[in-house]
Amino acid sequence: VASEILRVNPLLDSVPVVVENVTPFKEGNRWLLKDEEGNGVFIPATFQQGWQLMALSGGEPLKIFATGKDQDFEPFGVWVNNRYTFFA
Amino acid sequence: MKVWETIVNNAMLGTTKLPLRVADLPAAITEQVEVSDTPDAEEDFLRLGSLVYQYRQSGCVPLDLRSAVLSAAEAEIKPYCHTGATAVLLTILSEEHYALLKLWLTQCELAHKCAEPECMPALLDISVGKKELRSLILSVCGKRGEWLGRLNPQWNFSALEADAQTLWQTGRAEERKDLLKSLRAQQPAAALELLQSSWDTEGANEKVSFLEILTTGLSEHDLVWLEGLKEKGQKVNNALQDLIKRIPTSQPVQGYRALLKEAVNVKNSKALLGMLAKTTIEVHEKIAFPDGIFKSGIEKLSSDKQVSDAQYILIQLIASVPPSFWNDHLKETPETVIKLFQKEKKTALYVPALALAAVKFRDIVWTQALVDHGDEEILESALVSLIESLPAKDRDRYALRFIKKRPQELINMLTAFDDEWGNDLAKAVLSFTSQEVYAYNKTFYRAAVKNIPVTMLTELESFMPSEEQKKAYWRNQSHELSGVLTLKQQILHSFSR
Repeated sequence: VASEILRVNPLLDSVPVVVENVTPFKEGNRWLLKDEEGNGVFIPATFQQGWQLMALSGGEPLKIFATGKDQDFEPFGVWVNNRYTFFA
Repeated sequence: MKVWETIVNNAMLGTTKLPLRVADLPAAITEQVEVSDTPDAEEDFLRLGSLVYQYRQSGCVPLDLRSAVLSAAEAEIKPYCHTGATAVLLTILSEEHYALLKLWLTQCELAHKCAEPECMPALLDISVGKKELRSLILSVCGKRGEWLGRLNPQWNFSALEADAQTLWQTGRAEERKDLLKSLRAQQPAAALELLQSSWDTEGANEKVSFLEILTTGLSEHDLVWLEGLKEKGQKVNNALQDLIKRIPTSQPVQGYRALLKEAVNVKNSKALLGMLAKTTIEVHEKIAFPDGIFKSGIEKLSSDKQVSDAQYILIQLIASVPPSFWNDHLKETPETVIKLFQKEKKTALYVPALALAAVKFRDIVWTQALVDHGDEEILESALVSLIESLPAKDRDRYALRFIKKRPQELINMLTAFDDEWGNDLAKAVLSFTSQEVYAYNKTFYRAAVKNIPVTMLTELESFMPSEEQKKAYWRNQSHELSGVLTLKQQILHSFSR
């Protein structure tokens, strides 16, 4: 869906995505998301709820709603046990 | 990427002045895709710009994080709390109702539940600053909280506590005091051992602070070490003597008892031409006071012209022995001893010293007797500190009895405790505070909500002040109180399911 949106309007700053099985973690001062294959993206430094995201994950993969493109995606919310928690 | 900068320049100057041409595109694109310029410069800008963008995107690859090693939290032993409880907690956290946070945490702990993970970072952040809530917070954060603590050094309290010896040796003054305080509350003997390990190298100010901390959990076990200390500084010696004199079996207190036995006795005589027996307290003010008592902190000279030096010394001695001494020495009940002292003016002046002793040695029986049978003078001078030293249940009862007499001081004292008041006391307090709308504002009610029972929710209207100009204030304040009481009600309700 994200690539289709970018094909129609490649000049968009960011696209919304829902990704399953990604795990958040912290390396140095940066928060990152990693998928099951070991591919990852940065979470922008402006994202303030890194520890909340971490607490919700407990180190387990999450289904996550984020917006961004290239190597930067900002989480907007996650599904944990069929409950959606958004980051205000 | 140079071409992207060209496109940005084109966009800023406008396609009329600087049109984007196929020639501006890198060869890598034009060799693969057949494109040509058209007369429509705007159409060309969008078309070619889109092509370059896709070209740019195609070179973007995700980060390679295969080598990153991630850990996971252990499964929780306790279940998570009800969603209703989480909703209340989120409100408490966002509106900073810290008086209610302790209640929430206590209820969660009692229900053997965990806080929802989304609330844990905020709770752990609070536990950094509010050490009194730390153990409750760590308990309700469960395994997930432990795992987060291992990842965030600020929340890794177990590592900090495990290395108490290092913290004691290298920590800042405040950190060392906190460490000693918390250890003394849990393991008094271990705290004494820790202090002994570094006593000789401590400065005078540190020694005074540490001795004050030893007041908690003070017992005979501390006596040998305390009495064996040889301190040169006056400040440290005063603090040391004060501490030693809090232990009933210490040498100074034993010495004071012996002197009081000699100086204060019951005298039985006849009155009304021998028809009535009269019992009074007889005080021998002219006994010889040994020098030792003055070295232990008893002052020699009275600064009050109404009180002689000997009386002043006796007052200090009476304030320094456990009041139960009088039961043994005079073979009378506390009530009788108090009444005997109050019988005559010359002995009544010693009763405030009895009150000081009751508070100092936390003697509940004597405290109650003094409040029950003390005269106006004693109630004037020591009522609040006497009631303050009582256990919660008795404190409530006595505060209710005297609330009209000393409302402000009693309310100040009562709100320093966490215990919830009974309905009658809460009504009495609100009857007073609602009339004093300028002194008791929203901040007061936000803090006092821990003490006020939720049953007051239905009573708030009845406290409306009679003075017209105060009514708007009270409406405002009772609205605030109603809000926090409703939250309190929701906490209790959500954990009672």
